[in-house]
Amino acid sequence: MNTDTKGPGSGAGLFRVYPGGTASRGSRTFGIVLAIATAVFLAFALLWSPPDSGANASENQMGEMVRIMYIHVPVANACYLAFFVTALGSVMYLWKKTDGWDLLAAASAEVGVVFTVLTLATGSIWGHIAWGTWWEWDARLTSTLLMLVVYLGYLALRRAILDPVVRAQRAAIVGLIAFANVPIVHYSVTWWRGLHQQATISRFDPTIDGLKLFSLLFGMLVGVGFYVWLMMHRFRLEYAEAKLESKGLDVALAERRAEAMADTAVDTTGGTLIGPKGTN
Amino acid sequence: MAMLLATESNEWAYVASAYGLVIIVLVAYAAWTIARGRRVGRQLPSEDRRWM
Amino acid sequence: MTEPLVTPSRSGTMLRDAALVLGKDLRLELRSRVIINQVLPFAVLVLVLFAFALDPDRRILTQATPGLFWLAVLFSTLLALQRSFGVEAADGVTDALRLSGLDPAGIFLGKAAGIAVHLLALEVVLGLGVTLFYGATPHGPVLLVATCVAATAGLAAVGTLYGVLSAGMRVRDTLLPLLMLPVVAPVLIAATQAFAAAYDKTSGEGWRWFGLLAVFGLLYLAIGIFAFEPLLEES
Repeated sequence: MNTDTKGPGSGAGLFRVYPGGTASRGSRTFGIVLAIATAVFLAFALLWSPPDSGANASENQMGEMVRIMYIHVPVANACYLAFFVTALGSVMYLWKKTDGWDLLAAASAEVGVVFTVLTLATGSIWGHIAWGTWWEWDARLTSTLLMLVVYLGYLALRRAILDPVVRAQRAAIVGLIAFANVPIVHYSVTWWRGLHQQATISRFDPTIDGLKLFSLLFGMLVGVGFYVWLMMHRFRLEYAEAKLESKGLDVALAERRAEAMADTAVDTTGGTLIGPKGTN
Repeated sequence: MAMLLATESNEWAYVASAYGLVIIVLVAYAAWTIARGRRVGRQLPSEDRRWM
Repeated sequence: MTEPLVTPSRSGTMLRDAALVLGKDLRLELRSRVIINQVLPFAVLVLVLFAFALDPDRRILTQATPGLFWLAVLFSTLLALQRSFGVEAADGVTDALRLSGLDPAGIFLGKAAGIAVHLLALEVVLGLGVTLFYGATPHGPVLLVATCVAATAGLAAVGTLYGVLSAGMRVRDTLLPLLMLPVVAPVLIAATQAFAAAYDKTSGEGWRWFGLLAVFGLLYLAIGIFAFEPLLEES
């Protein structure tokens, strides 16, 4: 709606609306709600909920460490949700052959990879207390690591194919295989570890109730919220990139070069670009 | 089990690093995504930005 | 090979087309000898390098034999795949295959069978290699052979699927290992454990792992049969 690419837009400061950005009224409102929810979640998770010790403690007696669970579990939950959406997008693309599903799968995979890295990192921090080492060949950690590599491969495949139709087709099949592979890897790794299982290691699933349970469930909600909010931006970015791609690779390349040369030149470059309309 | 290895203040250091890491990475990723969006969006005519 | 098809039954033509593609790949190998002259020596070289890396003393080597064997197989699989799909990408053979009217599922099975035959030959040589170099005396021949067959089916199915997925890309050689290795990780785990069970004469545990390998192989063969048609139709 605003063709002046450097126009000030509405709002001010942090909330300034850039006409070229991926923000919308909806995403901004949702972002504010999410920020407030995050603050409340942090208060619950770090201040208001009791440590896992004393009379009401679970049998594992995790003390303050139980708080890591309130963030680890939601992040892990979000990563599984993200990869489920990638698989869904892949199936729907193979069925309907509409670009939107492919874009959804691609966007979700990238967000999912970010959440997976965080899952591994928080799991590893937990493990350092529980096991004394940063990495243990625990079934869940190991299969999550393999899942991360599989989706890094998915993203690498997407980057390697230039033709959008071929890319969507092949990525959809890889996205599907990647998801089908998750239970197989988990099962085999669990079994593999089961052979060498020593006495019960402190597991990540204590019995919790009351404020602790509320913090965890609220964290899951915030985690899903973060996923949705990130996806709003990431999907629009994917969509914008697809649009740009359909305008021809040469134009885009010339443009990026011009943009890299001088950010101030964007005005003129943007101006000339309005001319050739996209084919889609 | 966990108690054997951790003291009170030590525990808070682990908790803080876990929360700090997640928040920093998510904010950084969001900022990167929005920055990419602006860079790409600037090159698109407004009729192609359907979400606005 | 290029004659138009009047299909009597789907599975009949599928198997016939698979046999045609398999025959083509085997003839190609007999003429060029790339697998025999290059991949096979590479696999043996890997065994020797493992010995250099671990120790001259045979204790660790004997213990680690199942894992090292399957790692060598895995690395050789990557080379065999690059060979198998390098042949297809050159001179637009992929287009010729697509236009040939052959059943896509048949092409998949044929390519997978070709790779499987090469891998089984490799595994025989590697098996002799670990016996000779690492001093590992094999036990439970039935379990060993069954494991080889099931694991090879899984490797060939996944490999063929990802081979055609990354066909025609400039980065194929680097992308294929990244895509394929994490997916076949369960094969490495299961085959290694089954071999370890066979070498330790505790075959009961090994058959459970064989079951996992069989399920994996059948699953990916099924995925390949259904996914190959859309993969060939594109572009």
